[in-house]
Amino acid sequence: MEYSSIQLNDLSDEILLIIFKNLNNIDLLYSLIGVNKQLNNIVHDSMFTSSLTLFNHSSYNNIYPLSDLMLDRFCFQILPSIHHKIKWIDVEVSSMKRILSANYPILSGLGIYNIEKDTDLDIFTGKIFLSQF
Amino acid sequence: MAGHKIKLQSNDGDIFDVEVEIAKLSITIKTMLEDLSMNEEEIIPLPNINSAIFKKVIQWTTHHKDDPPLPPEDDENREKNTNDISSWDQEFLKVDQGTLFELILAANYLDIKGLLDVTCTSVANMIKGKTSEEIRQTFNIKNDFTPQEEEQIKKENEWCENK
Repeated sequence: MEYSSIQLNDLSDEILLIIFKNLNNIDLLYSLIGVNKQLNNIVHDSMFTSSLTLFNHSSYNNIYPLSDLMLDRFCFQILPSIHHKIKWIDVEVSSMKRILSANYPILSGLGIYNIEKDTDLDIFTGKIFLSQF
Repeated sequence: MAGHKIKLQSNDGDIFDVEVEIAKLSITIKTMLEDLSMNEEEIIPLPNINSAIFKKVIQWTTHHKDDPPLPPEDDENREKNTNDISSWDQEFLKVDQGTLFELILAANYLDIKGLLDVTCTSVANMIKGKTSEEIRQTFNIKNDFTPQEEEQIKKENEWCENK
């Protein structure tokens, strides 16, 4: 078969959207924000940015935090560029402080996971929470 | 009817005899035959597909001709499972990137959902877990942000870096 010169960048936005719907929003944003203008515009669409689940979970529904590398990229680059579009965030308690230190002007829902009974409930009266809500 | 064939012509002039039931896995061809009342003796042109890609499409549809219909997609609650490519499809998709993208375009034009799904999933697997720089290298993408635009993005991000 002859070598074809079509590249990812040559695909229409419609086709790219079909590809991107196979990825969850976190994987998509981590890999594609800031790559180039075309991809950056597509992944800023509200279908990918309005609701974020910022943790990993195994097939047995165990929840665990994002890697430090991923969390750094989200806190330093990704969340700052989409914070004004986020309506819902699901966070894991150990990374919640960093993630919620940003300003989310249209946030209407927050899910907090991996809360240890008694020990973590004071987060709701703490500085982070009160400064956000 | 098994064995009943139609003629399909690629954009580089090759003519393919394809079983009707296999060809009808393409909704585009099915529509041409049924709604547009195209005669099965006529040669159906496929202006967007070359013969090399169409051979691959026929290979895929022949293998998958007895697959059950795909369930309708629930877009809101779509389950992102990027690991469910069968071993046959994985072998089928061991092609260069350009061919993979041409297969995606062909599947989209011919409206063959199963082939579109599996090719798009394959590209999604190539994206998953890579940094933006690795994405540029993997897919030969040029960073087209100007230094001024990069600087602007940096400024917008300062509120987080100062935390």
